[in-house]
Amino acid sequence: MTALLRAELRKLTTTWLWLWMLVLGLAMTGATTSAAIGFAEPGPLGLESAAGQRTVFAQASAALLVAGILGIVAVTGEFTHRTATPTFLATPRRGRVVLAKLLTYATAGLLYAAACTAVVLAVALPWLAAKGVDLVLPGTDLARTLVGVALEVALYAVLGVGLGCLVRNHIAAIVGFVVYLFVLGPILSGVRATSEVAQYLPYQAGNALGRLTSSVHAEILGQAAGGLVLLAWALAFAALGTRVAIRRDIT
Amino acid sequence: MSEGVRIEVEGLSKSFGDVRAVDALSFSAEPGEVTGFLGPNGAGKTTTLRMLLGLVEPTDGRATIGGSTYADLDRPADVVGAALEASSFHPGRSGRDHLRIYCDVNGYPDTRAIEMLALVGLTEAARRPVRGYSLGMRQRLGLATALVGDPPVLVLDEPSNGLDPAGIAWLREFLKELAGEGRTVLVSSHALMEVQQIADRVVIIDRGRLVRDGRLHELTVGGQVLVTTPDTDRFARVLVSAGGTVIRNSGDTLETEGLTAREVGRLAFEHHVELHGLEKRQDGLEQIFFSLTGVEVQR
Repeated sequence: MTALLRAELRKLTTTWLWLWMLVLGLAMTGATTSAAIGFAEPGPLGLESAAGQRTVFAQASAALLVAGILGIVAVTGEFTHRTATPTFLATPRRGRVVLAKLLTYATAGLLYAAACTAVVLAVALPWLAAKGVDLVLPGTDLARTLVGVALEVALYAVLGVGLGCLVRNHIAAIVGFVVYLFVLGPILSGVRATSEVAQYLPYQAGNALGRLTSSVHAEILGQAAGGLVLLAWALAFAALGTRVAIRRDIT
Repeated sequence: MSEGVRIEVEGLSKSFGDVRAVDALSFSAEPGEVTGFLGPNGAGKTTTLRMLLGLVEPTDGRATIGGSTYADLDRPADVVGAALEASSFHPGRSGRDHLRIYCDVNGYPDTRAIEMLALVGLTEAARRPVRGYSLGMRQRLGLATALVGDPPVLVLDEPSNGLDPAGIAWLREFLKELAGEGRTVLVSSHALMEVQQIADRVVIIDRGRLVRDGRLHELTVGGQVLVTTPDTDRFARVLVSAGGTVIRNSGDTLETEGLTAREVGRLAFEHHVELHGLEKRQDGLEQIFFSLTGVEVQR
C-alpha cells in the first residue's frame, strides 16, 4: 500500500492541477471570508456574536469545492487520459488503487484546508481588529471549528473520489457536484419543507461539521452528528465507487 | 529472467450484449518467439488481449500466463509487460514522471525510469510533457512502461501504429531481440506486412473466432509462384500433373499455386523447360489472410 500511496502522490504532484486548485481554493477562501465580514449584518449572526464569528472562521470550507473536484478528477482523469489501463495493469486488485486514492486525497484535503485556514486567519484577524470587534469565540470553540472544517474538506475529497468512480465523465461529475454544492444543497436546506430531511444530506451535514451557520432557520445537526452523517455519505460513495470500479471492464 | 513463460488462451469468449466479440478462442504463445496476433479491425484482438490482462472479464473460458490468470499474479509487472494504447498518458506529465509512477507502484528505484527511457531512445524528451510527443514517441513510452519490470512476457496491441518506416524497423529489431532473450512476445496487428517480418508464429482471428494458427512458413506454403518461360503451355501441363494449379497463363508468364518455388524449379529442370524467371509472390500471407478472413460480399 505504501508503494501505491507513493504512486498516487506522484500522480497528483506531477501535473499542475494541484497548484491551480490550490490557487482557486485560496482565492475563494479570501473572497468568502471577506464577504462574511464585509456583508455581515447585525443580528443573531452578526460579527459581535459567537455564531457569527464562527461562521467567519469556518470559511476555509471553501476548500471543499477544490478537494471534491480533485477527488473526482483523480478517478475520471484516469479514464479521460486512458491511464486507467496501465494503472490497473500494474495493480489488478483495483480496490487497492481506489483505497490509495481515498487516503491520498483525504490527506490532500486536510492540507488544502490548512492552507485555506491560514488565509482565513490572515484576512479575519486584522480586519476584525480594525473594526474593533472583540473575539467572543472561545479558543476551544475556534479550534473545534477549524478542525471540523479540515475534516469536512477531507471527507469531501473522499466523496469526490467515490463520485468519480461512479460517474466516469469529467464534466458530468464536476457539474453535478458543483450544482449540488451551490444550488441544490442550499435550496434543500433553506426551504422549510425539505430542511428537516436536508440536514442529513452531505451539504448541510458538512456545514454542521464545519460549524458554518448559513441561516438561523435551516435545520442543522450538531457538529459530531453532522460529522458522522458526512462520514457515512463519504464511505457510502467510496464503497459504491470501489464496487463499480472493480467490476467495470476497462475497454 | 530465468525460464520462459507461456501464454495460454482456452475457450475464451466475450459477449457485449448480443454481440459475440470473442468466440471460444484458443491459442498459445511460446517463449523465445514473437507471436503475431492478426485480424482485421474489429476482429476481437484488443478484447482478447484485455481479457488476457484482466482488464475485461471474460464471459467464458480463461487465459493464463505461466499457468495463472493475470489477476492472480503476485507482481504482474515482473511477469508481464503490456502496451495496449498509443496514448495512455496524461498530456501534462513528462515521460520521465509517467515512468516514475510505475516504478513507484512496483517498488523499483527512480533510476529504472531513466534506464527505460534510454532503452527506447527517449532520453532527450524525458522531461518534456507527453502532449508534445509524436505518436511514435508515445508508442516508445508505452513500450518503456511495459518493460519497467523486465518481464518475461510482452503483450503489445498494434505497437507499430503511427511509427514511420524507421520506427517500424527499430521496433522489429527490438522485438526480435526481446524474443531472442527467451521472452514470450505477443503482438497484435492488422497490418500483415509488418507481422510477416516480425513474427515466428501467427494466430489469425476473424469475427472473434480462430481462423488459422501456425508457424509463418507453414502459412506461406501454398503461396503463388510466378514462372516466366517461352514454353508456357507445355510447362502448365507439367505443373498441373505435378499437383499444382495454374491460375493464369499470360503467354509468357504462369501464375501457379499449390507448389513451392523449389518444386517448380525442380520440375522445370527435370522437364528441360527454359526458364526466364521464377518468383515467389511475397504477399503469400496476405493472400491467405484475405482468403481466410474474407473480404465479405455484402448481401
